[in-house]
Amino acid sequence: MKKYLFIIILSIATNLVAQQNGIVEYEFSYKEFSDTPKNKTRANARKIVVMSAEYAKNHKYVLKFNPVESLYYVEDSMPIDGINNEFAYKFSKFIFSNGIYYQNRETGKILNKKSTMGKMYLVHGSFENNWKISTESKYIGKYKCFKAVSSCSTCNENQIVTVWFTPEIPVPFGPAGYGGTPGLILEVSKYRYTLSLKKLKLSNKTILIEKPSKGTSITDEKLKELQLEKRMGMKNNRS
Amino acid sequence: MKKLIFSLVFLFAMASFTQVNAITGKEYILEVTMYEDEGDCWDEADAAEEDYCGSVGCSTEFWLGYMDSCMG
Repeated sequence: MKKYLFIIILSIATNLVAQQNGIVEYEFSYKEFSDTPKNKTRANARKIVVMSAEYAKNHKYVLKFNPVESLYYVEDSMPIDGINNEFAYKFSKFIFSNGIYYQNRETGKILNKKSTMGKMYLVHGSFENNWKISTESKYIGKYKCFKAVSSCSTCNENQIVTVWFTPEIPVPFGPAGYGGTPGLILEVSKYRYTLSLKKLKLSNKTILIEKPSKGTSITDEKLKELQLEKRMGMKNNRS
Repeated sequence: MKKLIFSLVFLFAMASFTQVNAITGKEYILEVTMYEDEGDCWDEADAAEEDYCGSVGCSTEFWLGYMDSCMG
């Protein structure tokens, strides 16, 4: 009897572990602007932002994960009719995809390899641990998902991030560096932009994840500080 | 002699260019935005940041990237 019980428990455990390897593909969408820009400068800026979002629809947003680590990256692809605005195309890769993100649940750390201010950085951060999880739920594909909202005392309404995660796939990973939820994130929204599940392939085999390397190591806070210093410096030089 | 070689190379280059265009059959128009001075970029970067994430100052990384691209 004990033998059978052991086999049953082992097969359940194996099944759960097997469910923790997979490749997710997300698709991008955005809410259109309802107002009209008031002057030429604003119209130019709007044009770039809207074109960026249109280009962003063409990219492939991929998250690979195993029970311990995940890697998120964007495969950029050209629109069928070519790129007619390089400027906007550059920003299309920026919205949900500034570089590549590596997450590790054992250390609770996130690494973001990205280029900014003319230099390649390895940015060290941690999982968001201030999610406000609600009982609100919906199905995304066949998975029951719960809503979680980022809580940030200094953020305004536009900076709040909303995610939908499923406890049915119990890994704390998600796209674009979002994670720390009690289940895989299948949808994330910030301001006008949303990434939502397009395809999910679970695997019985362990998916190997390569930790990003090369780049100047820096913490997320320190990099933000440097960026702000640069912006203020430019502002002071202007006036 | 040099003149002849030069003419032949020029003709070959022109023919290749025409052929490539004929094969692809596509015409790409690259849009180039001309900025009068840095000030144009400055105001535009602020406006773009506002459209991108909701307010001026919400993403310094985006703003710096915009300024960088705008000023070339």
